[in-house]
Amino acid sequence: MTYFSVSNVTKRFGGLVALDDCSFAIEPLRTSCVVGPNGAGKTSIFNVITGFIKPDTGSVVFKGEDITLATRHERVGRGIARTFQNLQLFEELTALENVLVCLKDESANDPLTAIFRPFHTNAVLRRKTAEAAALLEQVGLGHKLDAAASSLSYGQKKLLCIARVLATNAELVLLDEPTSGLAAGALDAMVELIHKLKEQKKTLLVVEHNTQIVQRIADEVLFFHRGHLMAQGTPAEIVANEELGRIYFGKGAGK
Amino acid sequence: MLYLQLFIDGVVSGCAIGLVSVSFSYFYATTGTFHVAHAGIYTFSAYFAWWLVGVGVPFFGALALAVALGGVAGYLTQRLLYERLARNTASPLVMMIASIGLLTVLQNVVAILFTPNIVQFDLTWRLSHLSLGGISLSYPQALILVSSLVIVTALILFSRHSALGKRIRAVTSNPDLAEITRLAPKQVFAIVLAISSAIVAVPGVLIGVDQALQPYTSLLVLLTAVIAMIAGGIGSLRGAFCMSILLAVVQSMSVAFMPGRWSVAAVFGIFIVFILFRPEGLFRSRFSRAF
Amino acid sequence: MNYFLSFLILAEIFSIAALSTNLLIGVIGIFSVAQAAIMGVGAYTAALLMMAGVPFPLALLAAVLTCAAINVLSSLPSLRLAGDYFIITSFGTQLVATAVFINWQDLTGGATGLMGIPIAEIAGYSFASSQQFALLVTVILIIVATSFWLLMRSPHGKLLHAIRLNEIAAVAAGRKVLRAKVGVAAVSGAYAGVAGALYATYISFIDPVSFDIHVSVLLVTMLVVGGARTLAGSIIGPFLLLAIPQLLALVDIPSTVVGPVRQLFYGVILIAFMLWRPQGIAGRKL
Repeated sequence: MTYFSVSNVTKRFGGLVALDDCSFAIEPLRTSCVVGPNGAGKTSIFNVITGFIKPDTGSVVFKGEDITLATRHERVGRGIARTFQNLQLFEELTALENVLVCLKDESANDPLTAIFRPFHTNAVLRRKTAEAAALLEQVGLGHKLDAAASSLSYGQKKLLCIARVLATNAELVLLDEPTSGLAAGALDAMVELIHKLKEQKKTLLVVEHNTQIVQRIADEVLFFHRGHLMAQGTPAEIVANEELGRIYFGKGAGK
Repeated sequence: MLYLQLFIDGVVSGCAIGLVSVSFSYFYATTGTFHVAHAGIYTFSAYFAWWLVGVGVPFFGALALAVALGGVAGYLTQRLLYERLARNTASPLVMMIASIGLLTVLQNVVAILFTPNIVQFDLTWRLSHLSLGGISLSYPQALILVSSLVIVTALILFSRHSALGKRIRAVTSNPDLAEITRLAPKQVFAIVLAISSAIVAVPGVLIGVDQALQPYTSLLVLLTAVIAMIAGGIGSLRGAFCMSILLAVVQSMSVAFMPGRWSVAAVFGIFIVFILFRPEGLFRSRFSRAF
Repeated sequence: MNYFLSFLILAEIFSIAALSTNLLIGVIGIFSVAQAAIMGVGAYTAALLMMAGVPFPLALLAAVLTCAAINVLSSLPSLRLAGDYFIITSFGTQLVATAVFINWQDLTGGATGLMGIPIAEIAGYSFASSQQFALLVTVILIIVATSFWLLMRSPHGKLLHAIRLNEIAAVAAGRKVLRAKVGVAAVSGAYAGVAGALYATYISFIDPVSFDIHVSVLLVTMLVVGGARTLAGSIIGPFLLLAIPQLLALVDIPSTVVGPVRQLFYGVILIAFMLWRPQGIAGRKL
């Protein structure tokens, strides 16, 4: 049984074809990097997988179950979660609260419990606060628990996004350009964190532009072009493929 | 014959609401500000015309002055209120609450300056009728019909073909880009609200002549107009106008089947059906806002 | 003394209604100018039941449940859609509710309203005097305010804020946003029901004008002046704004324009706060 697969997915926006009969499968516990030129459909495939857009045709199957039509929260419940290229933080909340509201644990998460069982809620709140703090500690934001998300640096915000995705307890984690815009130091911290996630038995799907980073983190590379998968292989194979290099770096600039 | 007459009455009041809808839509599609105070300018200019007629100004002079007052009020509203709020990076919610505040101010200034009571224009011709093959059309109704068709046509032509109209559309389609080019969106917004407010003075006065003036009922007219705008597709002036007529005809004909006092509920019911089944409106516009 | 007590009682009732508005507009970000209408449904429900001999606690409970249901229903179409549709649904709910209050004459007494609503009585103890009623309202306000506070500090309260700030992120984290919105609409409706029932039994007379669009706008003004999202804001706002008519009573103005002058004040205050202090006196920025 394949762990996760996308089959024949097509998505059009008006005349524009974002995904064109796109199919691929990934193995558990591996880190796959999605690469390709701008407009190749990398973010679109993330949106299809996480339910933010419905494909016109095709299906998405996770651990043997068709989730093409599942709601977004159902997918998170099954263990698929994502980050966004433009972060999408709760800017006014603290780092701790940002993580706390994303915790998978649904207990005391309704108004009646909050109002009529205050002591139980209190205990849950303490437990969740501890969990959220531990997650922030893990991504290296242990010293920023009570800082408003809006006050964090760009690199810290990106780490916070990872902590939020971990809070959902997902096993298949989709990271949309986790290293873009990071300075050298923050970049190394992010790569280290990604390695840590692999050790924690997460399956990762990462949109990544930087070929050096790809070589540092990827077990496998999915090369997208014009809305479908052009090639799938180890980083070394993909880098060695001159045709892909030409597509990626433009005419005449291939390695 | 009763149905035909109800139908004609519906078309006429639809034309008047259509002007409200079109003018609201023009500003809303351009700026995204939910300008509830539009209803206040509608009422204020209507009472102003009533007062002018009362002190002896000829009707068309009073109408022209009311239109001018509407335009000035609109221009000042954008410059003194919305522009300042935008400078404070106010959320749309804050803009709209301020607009509700302005509506409250305008309605009550009318009540204090003029009268809090229901009044009618003191014009002898307002009860005269034209008879066309069994259908009767009062002079004010005829005036509404003609003027609304002229104004809506003029606005659509202005928007498509005049230099200023094109500039407004350029700002509408991309305000951020407009900011860095020489389109001067701030000035454009003020001009658009001036035009919208001048237009809304016309149905304000003419419905006042046809029926009566009340300080606090304009919100209901605006609500119908906004529902028509949404049903017609935001940004489409033609859609807003046509849907206004359709809604008003439904409202007018419904009197034959149920008590007239429930017509608010009927219009609102249509709206609910619309947003559930066709949230983008009947007429999809070329430059509708994404929401 | 009675004069002061009646001010206190009304301000406390409106504090409960303001908390209802606060939950919707301030906390979860669903715009509403229909909270007076919901409060009206509560008032009519409680009034009709009490006039039919139902004891006050049961009538209050019925009002709470009815309002919770109505508030959910009236916001349901908008819950599916984002953006400015909220505004229309909310204005529409208010105008339709007023039309129903006026036109369903057999039930609501039409424009003349309902008179002779009985005094609240719990287990044989009657809250007939102003002091007694003030005590009852204060206790109920404390209960409602405590529940608001408990809700805000719970994990669920944080989620409500998160949904207002960024719905997409909340969805991406697997939260059931629609369910949270329905829940908050129900709690908000319940508060409005409490306010309506207390109002009906205290004034002993209700009519459609008591719950029209002006009252809804007044509730929004109370929220804006006091400040969104905080408990203090929802209490400061009603106390300050209800003091305005009392102050105007000291100035000599013709009786025909007293209403409009008061409304004018409210409108000016609304604009001024939006321009210069959108966070209100003790709240957060809207």
